Amino acid sequence: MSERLPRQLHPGAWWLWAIGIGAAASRTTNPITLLVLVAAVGCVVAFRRTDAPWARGFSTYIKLALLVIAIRVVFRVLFGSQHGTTILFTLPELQLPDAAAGVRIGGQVSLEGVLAALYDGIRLATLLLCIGAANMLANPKRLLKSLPPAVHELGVAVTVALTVAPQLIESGQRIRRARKLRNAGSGRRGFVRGVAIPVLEDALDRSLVLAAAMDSRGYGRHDPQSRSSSFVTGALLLGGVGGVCVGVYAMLDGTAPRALGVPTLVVGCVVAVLGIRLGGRRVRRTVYRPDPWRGAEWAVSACGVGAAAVMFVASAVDPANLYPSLQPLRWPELGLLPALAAAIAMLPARLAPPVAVRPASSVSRDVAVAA
Amino acid sequence: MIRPLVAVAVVAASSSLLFAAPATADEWYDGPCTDNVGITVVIDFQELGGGVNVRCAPGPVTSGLDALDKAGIAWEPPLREPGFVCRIAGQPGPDREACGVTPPPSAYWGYWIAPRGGAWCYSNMGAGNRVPPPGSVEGWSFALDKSSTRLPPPGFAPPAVTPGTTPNPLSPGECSASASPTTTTSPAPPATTTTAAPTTVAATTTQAPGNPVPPAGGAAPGPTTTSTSPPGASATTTTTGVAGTTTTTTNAPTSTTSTSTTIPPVATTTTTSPTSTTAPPSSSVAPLGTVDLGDDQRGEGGFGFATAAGMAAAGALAATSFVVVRRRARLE
Repeated sequence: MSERLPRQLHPGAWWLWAIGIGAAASRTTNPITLLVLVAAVGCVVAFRRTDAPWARGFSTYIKLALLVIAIRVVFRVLFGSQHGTTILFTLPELQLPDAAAGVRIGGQVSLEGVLAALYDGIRLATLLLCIGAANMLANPKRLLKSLPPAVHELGVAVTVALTVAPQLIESGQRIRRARKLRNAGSGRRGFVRGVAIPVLEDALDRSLVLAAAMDSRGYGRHDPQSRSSSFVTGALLLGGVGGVCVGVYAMLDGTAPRALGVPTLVVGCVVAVLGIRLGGRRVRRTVYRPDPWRGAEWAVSACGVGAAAVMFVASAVDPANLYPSLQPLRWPELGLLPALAAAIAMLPARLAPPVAVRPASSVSRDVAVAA
Repeated sequence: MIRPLVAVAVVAASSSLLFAAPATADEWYDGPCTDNVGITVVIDFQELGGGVNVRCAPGPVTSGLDALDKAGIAWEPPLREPGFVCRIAGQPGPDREACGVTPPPSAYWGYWIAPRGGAWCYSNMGAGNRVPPPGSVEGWSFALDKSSTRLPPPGFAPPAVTPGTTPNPLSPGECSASASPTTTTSPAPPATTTTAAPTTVAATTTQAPGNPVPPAGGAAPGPTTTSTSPPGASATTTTTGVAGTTTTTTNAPTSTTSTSTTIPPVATTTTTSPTSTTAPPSSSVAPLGTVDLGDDQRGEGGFGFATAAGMAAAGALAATSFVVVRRRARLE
C-alpha cells in the first residue's frame, strides 16, 4: 500500500464519501458520535489533502461550524421555550401581548434546553464540515470535467455554488498574506478597503478569466436543434433532478413518509438519465485525460456509503443511543455501531492514494507575492 | 478541535452533580388525590399496553409538566422541540418513536383536563404553559391513528369531588366544551366486557396504594378499554389490564354528558370489585396499570465507559490530525 504512486483521487469519490458521512451524521444527535465522526473526517483531510489553493482552510470551516453552534445556542437561550427542570440562570423576560402567546423572549434558561440546542448545532456543524472536507479534498475543476456533457451547464452552476466558500477562503488568505508582506496593519480600520474589496475584485477577475477560458475552448456551442426537442430535454432534466431531490430528502429525513422516498428517487433517476441521454446527443465534447475510476475510488466511496449504512442500521437497532435523553439528563454514549461507522469513515486516510507533497509550495507563495 | 471538546467537557462536568440527583421528593401516591390541592394525573397507555394508571401529584404545581414530575412519572420531550411530551414512562419506545422532532398526529400523547367530578376535555393549551387549578385532574391518553374528532379520552372518568370541598373550575378558554368528547358519549350496547378470569382479579386489586406496580415483563398485548352506557345514566368503565391481570369496575359520575364543567356530580363512587373491600375506600377505585411510571426504560446513564471512550476516541483522532497537519506545515 505504501508503494502506491501519488495521484489525485476522482473528485466524485470524495463527494460520495462526504455525502455518505453527512447522511450518517444526520441520523443522530449524539454529540459524542458526531464529534468522533468530525474527528474522523478531520483525520482524512489531514492525511489526504493536496497543496491546491482550495485544500486549505479547514480551520475556517471549523470556525464557521462553531459559529453555527453558537448561533443555535444563543437563539435557543433567547427565544426557546425552556422546559427543563435544571435552571442554569434567569434572563429578564420581555412581556409580549396576548397575540404572541406561546412566544417567549428571555426568562429561565435550562440546561436541558441549552444542551438540546448544542446537540442540534453540533449535528448541523458536522454536516457543514463534511461539505467542507469534500471541498478541500476534491478538485472542483476536475469534478466539472467529469460530469456528463448534457448536465454541463447545470454542473457549472452547481460547481460555482459549491466552490464559493473555498474560493473566498483562498482569496482571503492570499490577500491577508499580501497585506502582511506589505506590512499593512491588521486592525479593524481599513478592513473593507483593505480586504473585502480586494476579495470581491479577485473573485470577479477569476470569474472573467474562467469565462474567457471556457469561451476559447468552445464551451457552450452545440448543434442547432429544434425548440421542441430542447424543451423536452430541459423538462426531463429538471423533472428528473427535482424527483431525485425530493426522493433523497424523503429518504434521509426520518419523519417523511417512507413510501415517498424510494419510488420518487427511482422515477427521478430514470427521468434524469433519459434527459441526460437525450441532451448528450447534441453535445459533442471530448475530455482530455479523463480521471480514472479505479479501485481506490470504489473503496473511498464505499466507505462513505458504508458509514451511512451502518448508521441507518444503528437507528433501527439502538435508536436510544443516537438520540440521547435530555429529560432526564443522561450522558451521551458512543455506541458500538456508531464507532464502527466512524472507523469506516476514517479508512480513506489509508485507502486513498497518497498525495504529492512538495517540500516548498512555491506556487501559492508566488501568487501571494504577486497579489 | 480541542476547544469544542473542552467546552463539552466543561458543560458536562458542571452538571455532573445534577445528573445524579433524584428527580423529586417522593410524596406522590397511587390513586386520586385525597385533598383539594393535589393534581390527579391519569395516564392511559391505550394501544401501547400498560393500562390506565392514576396518581396524585402533591400540589400546588406550576404546570402540567410539573404535575407529571411531581407525580413521579418519567416523561421525555422530543429533542428538538422540548415543549411537547413525546414519551411517558418510556412509551412509545425508541423503536416506534425516535423523539427527535414532534411526534406525528397519528401517534402522540393527548393532554386532557377536567375538574374533579367533571368530564374530560381536550386541553387548548400545552401542558408546559398551563397552570392547572389546585385539585383538578389531568389526563394523558395515547392517540394512535385517531382523527382529531375521535381522540380517545383517558379510560378513567375524572374522580368524584373530595368530600367536603368545592372543586376548582377550569379557567375559561382552557377547554372548548363543544369539542370535548367524554368517556360515555358513545352509544355502546349496554353490556360490560370482562375478559379476565375471576381468579386473576384478586391477585392485583389487593395492592395497597403507594406501592409502585412492577413493570411488565416482555411484550404484552395491549389493554382493552370498554366504555359502556347502561340505560341508567350511570357509566361503567371496565379496564382490562395487560393479559387480563387487572380488572376494576367503577361507577363514574352521572354528569358525563353535560357540557358544563362546573356541575358537581351527584353520584358517589363505589366499587364493585370483589376484593376491593380490603383496600382503603378513598383510593381503591383507581385502576392500576402494569407499567412502572417512574421508569423511563433508559437505564441509569451515569458517566460510564462508553462516554469516556467516545470522548477519548474523538480526542485521539483530533490530536492525530493536528500532528499530521503540523508535520506537513513544517515540511513546507
